[in-house]
Amino acid sequence: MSLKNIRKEVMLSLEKNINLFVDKFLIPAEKIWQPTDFLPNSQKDTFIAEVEEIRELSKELDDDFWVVLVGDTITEEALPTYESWLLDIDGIHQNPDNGWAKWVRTWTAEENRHGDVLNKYLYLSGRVNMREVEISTQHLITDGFDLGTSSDPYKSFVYTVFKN
Amino acid sequence: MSRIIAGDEMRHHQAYSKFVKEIFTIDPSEMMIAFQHMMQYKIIMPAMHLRESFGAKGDVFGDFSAVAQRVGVYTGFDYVDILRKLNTMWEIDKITNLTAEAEKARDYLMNLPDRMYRITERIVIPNTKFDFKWLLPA
Repeated sequence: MSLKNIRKEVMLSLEKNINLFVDKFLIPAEKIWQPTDFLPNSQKDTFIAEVEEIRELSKELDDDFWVVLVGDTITEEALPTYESWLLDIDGIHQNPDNGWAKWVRTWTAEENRHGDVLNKYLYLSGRVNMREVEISTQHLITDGFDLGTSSDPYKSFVYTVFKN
Repeated sequence: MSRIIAGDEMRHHQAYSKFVKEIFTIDPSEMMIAFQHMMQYKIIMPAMHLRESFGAKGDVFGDFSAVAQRVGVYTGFDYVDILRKLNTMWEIDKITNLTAEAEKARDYLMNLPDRMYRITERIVIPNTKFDFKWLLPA
């Protein structure tokens, strides 16, 4: 059997237990934190005061801090790149839909909250030129990436372990 | 906020490392070789092509990375640290029945953390003041 076919077999065998992985390592939407839990609630009258507080605290943090936070936010916001890369791995496919694709979508759905909360926080901080951040984000998604994994599941998993 | 995000990432990290651990039991030699290939190629940052408005592909990644290192968010020592942890977590020293090629890959991986540590010690992070457009007043 070719190396590629062995990998497909291995992926099939792991897939049998994928629901256990989803249940053990991922958290349903209603149970997990959502961005709004950590941000001023705009339905409340205290909203403006809370935003003022964020803006005051933000003044004290230095430029290097904001640069790192911006870079991290843009990295998180480039989530479409990561999802399409994962869905392209040998043994993961949506047509027909398999357990791995379900894993990837559920993982993506969780990850999506990260860029969301960071983006809103940056916006409220008053320390960042959001238009420039948005332009960099649009570019990064356009440019994609090359991690050197090709569509090999083994290499791709090593990458995701390392990066998380 | 960073802490809650890190919490998510830790859970995801554990899941993906479990996948690798299982593959090590089914297809040990190929998993070892794949691991070695990735480490030899070096783990690149997903934001490798980071750029600013009107800039060229990847033109601010180097500056951003320098800032992240001097702030201490992600340094070469972290990289070495992660490598060590992965070797331990997957117990690559205890895996048996490897092909000759996979044995070589394992040797490479076992020696890599110390080798990278020595290289990292010599890296000097610039103290330059960078002007990122992200912080310019609109």
